[in-house]
Amino acid sequence: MNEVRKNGISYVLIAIFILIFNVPILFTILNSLKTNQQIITQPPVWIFRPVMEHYERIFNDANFPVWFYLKNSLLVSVFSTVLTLLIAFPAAYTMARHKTGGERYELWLLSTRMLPGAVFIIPTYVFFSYFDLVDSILSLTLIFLSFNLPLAIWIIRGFIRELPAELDEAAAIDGASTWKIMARILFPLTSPGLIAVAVLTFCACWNEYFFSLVFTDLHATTFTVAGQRFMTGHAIMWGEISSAVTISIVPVIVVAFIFQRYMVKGLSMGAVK
Amino acid sequence: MHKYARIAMLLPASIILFGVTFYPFIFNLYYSFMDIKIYNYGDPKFHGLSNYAQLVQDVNFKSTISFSITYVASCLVLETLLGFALALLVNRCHAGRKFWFPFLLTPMMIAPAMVGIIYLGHLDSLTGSIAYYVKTIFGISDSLLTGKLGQFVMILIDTWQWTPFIFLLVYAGLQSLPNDVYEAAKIDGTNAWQMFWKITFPLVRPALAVAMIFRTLDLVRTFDQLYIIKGGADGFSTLSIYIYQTAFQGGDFGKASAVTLILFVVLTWLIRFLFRILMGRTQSV
Repeated sequence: MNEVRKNGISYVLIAIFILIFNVPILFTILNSLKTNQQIITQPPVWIFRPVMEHYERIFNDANFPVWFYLKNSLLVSVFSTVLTLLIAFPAAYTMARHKTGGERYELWLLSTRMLPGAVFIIPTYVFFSYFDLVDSILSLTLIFLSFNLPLAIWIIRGFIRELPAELDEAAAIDGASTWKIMARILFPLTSPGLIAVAVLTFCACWNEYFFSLVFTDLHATTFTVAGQRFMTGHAIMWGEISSAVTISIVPVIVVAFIFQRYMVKGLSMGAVK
Repeated sequence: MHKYARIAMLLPASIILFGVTFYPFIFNLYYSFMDIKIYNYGDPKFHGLSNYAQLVQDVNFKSTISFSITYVASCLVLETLLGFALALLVNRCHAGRKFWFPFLLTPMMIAPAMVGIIYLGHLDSLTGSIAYYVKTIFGISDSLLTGKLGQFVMILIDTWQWTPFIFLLVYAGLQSLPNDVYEAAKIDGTNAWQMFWKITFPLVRPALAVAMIFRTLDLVRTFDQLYIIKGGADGFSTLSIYIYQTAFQGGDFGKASAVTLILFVVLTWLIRFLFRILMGRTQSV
């Protein structure tokens, strides 16, 4: 009886956490469907007839090319994710299977993930402006790649280590080359880890703000930076901003819901192992 | 496999990561001794330690440091306590977990910049919905985004977003604990309190340590939501914001590089220190 009651309280507490975590997001999504008057009314309006005027306006605003911003965000995120996987997988393989670099290399690798972007921002800015690559998809892709590589290698390495080395040896005896072992055996078997890395990398790129703010101006503006263009000195257009925020957060939340299982596994593999 | 092939596999990653650590270090070191501003960019002059001397006297730099320390420490404590508690709760509630579990992770999935925009709207005392409920429930009608209260609210916003992260890693650690240890302890008549401190806590400590290291370093670099909500106003500035404003708004690359170098050295030291603690503990478990 006591056990049941104790667990009842646990469920109530979890429900409170869920409410606190999600209600502010829900408010914003609701605001994007309210009229401007309803948005700023106190107490907040809970029941109203949803209007699509803010979405219509931002999709038709010549000063706010939504598709262009979304395309930039998508290109940078996809390119970075693909490159991260392509570079991280062989590195993780050779570290896990051949101990290339040793433990000191592993620690150095993970420690590069921990330096803040502010440390790189001036040097990389000067570097890319020398090649005239500031404000381009390419420079952002390369920068995001460097942010995501360490964690990607770390997680994939954990997944490869889980697989018995006899697997490789058996294949090698059958005459499979190293590349074949990697491509045909290890790649498919570590796919949960690769999915986890892909999801985490994609979300990190999609959400990045600091470098996008400094590095982009006209040609490579990402959606995260563009979102606040409705906050002008004269007026804050909360309806438009709320719809922009909704457009930005819904994709990552959906991705997180679909791949949640992989992310939990990938993160715990990276952290605990 | 041939030795060169092994090294070749590691090479692309190594070059990139070496490029973003070693090159910036040399670069910042050089810039920090130069008088290099937006208007004399093509013709920088040697400046000695003048950039560093300016920092010591800069009132803004001091308030940046003091806010950063309060911010990092408070967020870390709150997130760790709440995240750990939540992980313990979730670990014993199985009913329908598949369905509600993802809702515990939503805040950490969305962009911190968007979190900034979300709360900037909701916390406005005249129009915001959350501000209204704070007013009616707690009777606080002051502005929630300025002064000491504002600093506290910023800490709460970060706690809101990143408690799920600590929760997730600790929960993953709890999931991998062997069940038979608990059963054996139960048979020996161990009470819940002893069970927690003698079994659960030592076993999840490595996972907790990793989560806390990641949070500490991410907190030091905080930029997005604070910059969007406060725009680097006095008393709400972190080192990232200070560097951004000095270099890209003030045009003083030399001074910004000096801050960057200090940050670089302090963090490298901090990372080593945290790693040593973590590694020591992992081996002893």
